[in-house]
Amino acid sequence: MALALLLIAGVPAMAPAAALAADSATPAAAEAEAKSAEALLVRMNHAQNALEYEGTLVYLHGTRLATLHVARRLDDGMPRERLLALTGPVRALARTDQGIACMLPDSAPIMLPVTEADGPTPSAALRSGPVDFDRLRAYYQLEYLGVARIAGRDTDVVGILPRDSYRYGYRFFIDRASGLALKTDLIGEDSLPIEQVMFTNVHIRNEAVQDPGVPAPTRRNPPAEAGFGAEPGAKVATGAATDAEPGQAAGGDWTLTAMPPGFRIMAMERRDEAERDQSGTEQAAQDPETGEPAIGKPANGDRANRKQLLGMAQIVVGDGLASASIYIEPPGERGLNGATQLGAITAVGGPAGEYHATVIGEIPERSARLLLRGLRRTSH
Amino acid sequence: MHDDPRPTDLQQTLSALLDGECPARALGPELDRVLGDPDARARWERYHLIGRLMRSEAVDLDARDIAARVRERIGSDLVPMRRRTRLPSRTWSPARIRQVVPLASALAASVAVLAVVIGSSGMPGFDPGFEPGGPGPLVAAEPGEPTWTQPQLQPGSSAEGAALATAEPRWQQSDPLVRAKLDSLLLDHQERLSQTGMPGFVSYTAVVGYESGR
Repeated sequence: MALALLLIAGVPAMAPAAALAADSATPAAAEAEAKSAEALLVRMNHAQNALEYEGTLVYLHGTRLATLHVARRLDDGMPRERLLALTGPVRALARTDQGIACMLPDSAPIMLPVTEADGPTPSAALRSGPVDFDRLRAYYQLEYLGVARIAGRDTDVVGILPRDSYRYGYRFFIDRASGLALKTDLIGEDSLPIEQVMFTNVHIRNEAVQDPGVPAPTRRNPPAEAGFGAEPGAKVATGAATDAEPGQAAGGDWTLTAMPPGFRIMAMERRDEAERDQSGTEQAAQDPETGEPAIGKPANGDRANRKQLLGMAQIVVGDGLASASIYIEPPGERGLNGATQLGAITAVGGPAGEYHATVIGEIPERSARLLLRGLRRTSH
Repeated sequence: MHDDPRPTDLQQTLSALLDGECPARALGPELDRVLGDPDARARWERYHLIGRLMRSEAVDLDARDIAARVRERIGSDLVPMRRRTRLPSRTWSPARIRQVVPLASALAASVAVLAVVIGSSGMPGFDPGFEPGGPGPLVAAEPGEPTWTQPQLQPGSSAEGAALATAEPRWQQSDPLVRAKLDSLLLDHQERLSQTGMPGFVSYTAVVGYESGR
């Protein structure tokens, strides 16, 4: 633990961004650095999908410190990812393209299987285009901040610092050899990190960086159609992704009359009966090849997690980097009232007319409250 | 109801995981196994529920929709109980004790749940060797195995309550249903965005890394 704290204190994450960006004294130099930062971010975005790695992470939020084991494998090109807490009670999360399984203490196992009803999910549409740096620059300052050494490896430090208090920023420490982010700082106001995640050791199996133009394949998004190469504006399962601004109707039964600057509706979805039918499957699904129970498939005892989402409407909003979901459920359901946090994740819940809504995402509380206040039903 | 008192591999795995007894090198494969097996996940939940009951923590059985499932499956988790027998005169090495503790945990858990469920529902047909509220502590005595004395379950005891009062629940929410719902919503949101945001899989770190009450 002491070693981890020393490592965290020793990297330039704690230093003011201006000091690290001292070289960018002229506009031309600043522009060149921004372009360099963009190139590094594109490479990082690709690397995290293309690489196989395993290592130990430390997670620091306030005075809370945890150590986790992380592993990412590509099985015939399909990702399998696992997070395991090494301190405190066993908490674990496994993620495949079939879904998520999460085990937390004092809680039912959380299973979010991918169902056929999901179809191409909103995320499929969202990840189909390149990062819109022009849009990001309106609300964030992109900077190349210098170099640092993390987990014994050289990294380039890139900052995406917020221009207002409606969103958090990030500092990424990007491995020069592989492009993987070895440290990620979530930046609040005053450019101070409010949450840090850092590798203390990492083994990267396939460090040879592929062409960023080649998308990472998934079963739902085969290589020829998905990833960075797919056409922007791909359709979502239910409801179309829109660029609705505050005050505009966004389609469906709900709209947002107020959003933080730069936020727009990225997707809307309703958990419908087709999904209910699938998640109500009584028997554990099996892998068609091995016959073994498959991670992420609906099974007896797992239904409650999926069931909790059924009947809900979901609106996904974001500014291109920060994001939140607004879940709206029928009256009578028990839900969050007020604001709460899990690390840097904010959740705000309360009534929306006769319904109940919960806003959740890695955004400041003021943004979450604004979204909740702006929620309006358009049809009755 | 099982007659074979030997814990299955799955029970041993779960007990080892929950008790922190699983060797580090085996954690990954064992977790893959548990996460990929619906029965294992269900047992995980039961064992955690049992743990809460043993610690006299409040559990909203109806909210978790598990009371029925506990009743259905309790027989399969039970290790037969017998009256106390004399401890065998054996010397136990630390390694041997470590092997046994998970079994004892599972056993304690089963007893606790049985006591609570029977106490609240009057479930018939339980193992006649178990007498809730009967005189004397209960032990699990297998031939050649050590015995273990079950702590007396004291729901709401002040000592345990005081210890738990300092623990901050996840999401700072006392309602387990609200906590579970928020976890599900967060994971659903992250999954929608995990491959679009810059942090990638690391964005899940807070979900797993955040430890309540610390």
